[in-house]
Amino acid sequence: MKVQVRNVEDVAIIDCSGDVDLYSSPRLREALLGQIRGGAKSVLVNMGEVGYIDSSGIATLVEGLQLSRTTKTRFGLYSLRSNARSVLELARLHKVFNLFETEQEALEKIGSVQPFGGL
Amino acid sequence: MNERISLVLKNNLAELERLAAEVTAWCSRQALSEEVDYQLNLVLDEVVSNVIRHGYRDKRQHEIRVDLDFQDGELTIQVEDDGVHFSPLQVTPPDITKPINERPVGGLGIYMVRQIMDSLDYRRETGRNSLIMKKRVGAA
Repeated sequence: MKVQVRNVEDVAIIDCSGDVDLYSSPRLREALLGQIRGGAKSVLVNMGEVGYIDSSGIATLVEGLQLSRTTKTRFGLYSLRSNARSVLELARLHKVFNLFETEQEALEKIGSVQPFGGL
Repeated sequence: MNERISLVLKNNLAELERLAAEVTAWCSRQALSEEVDYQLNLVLDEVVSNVIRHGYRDKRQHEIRVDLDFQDGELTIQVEDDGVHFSPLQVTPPDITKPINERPVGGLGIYMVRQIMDSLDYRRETGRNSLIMKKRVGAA
């Protein structure tokens, strides 16, 4: 799995690619929590190249979401593939994350997200 | 083509990659859909990684046996190990109705397995855990 962070204006985008599993999720966790703790106003995770995610990957995203609510950071995911979306649905988490179809949509809407909740 | 396979894995997390490759190749030979392949990988990833991480109190090498079968539209997965007595059926499911900030970060693995599979049957026999999971699926 690869994790890279880039900034588009005041939004930190975490590009994640490959499998997010027990082995690799600590790398996503480090990047995600690092950006939130580091004071980013908005954090987006680009899931477009994530082919597989397991419960440890989901747990990492939940941890990021919980921390973002504490720090009042806007947080969202975009470009989820159908299988990854299904896993979120299995865990009944698809309604608690801010989910966007594309990076453009995410960048347009993330500023309107309540940092302690949904859109 | 119905082909039952048995895989023997060591209690080492690096084995999960080999397991995933074997499962995907088997799903392809059974003409199972990509969705079923994904679900099967997720189920085995969660179950086998639990055994490897929590099943053994010693540092010795152990074997975990995974059997896969697909007959008459029914997928059967059996996972057998000689780890400590552990029944996934007795794991309290996470309360998914709680507000997100009150939900525990982990604990979703077994819950997701139960959501994906139609049935789980657990037995402890002669010092071994045996978990049999079934699911009706269609071919791709």
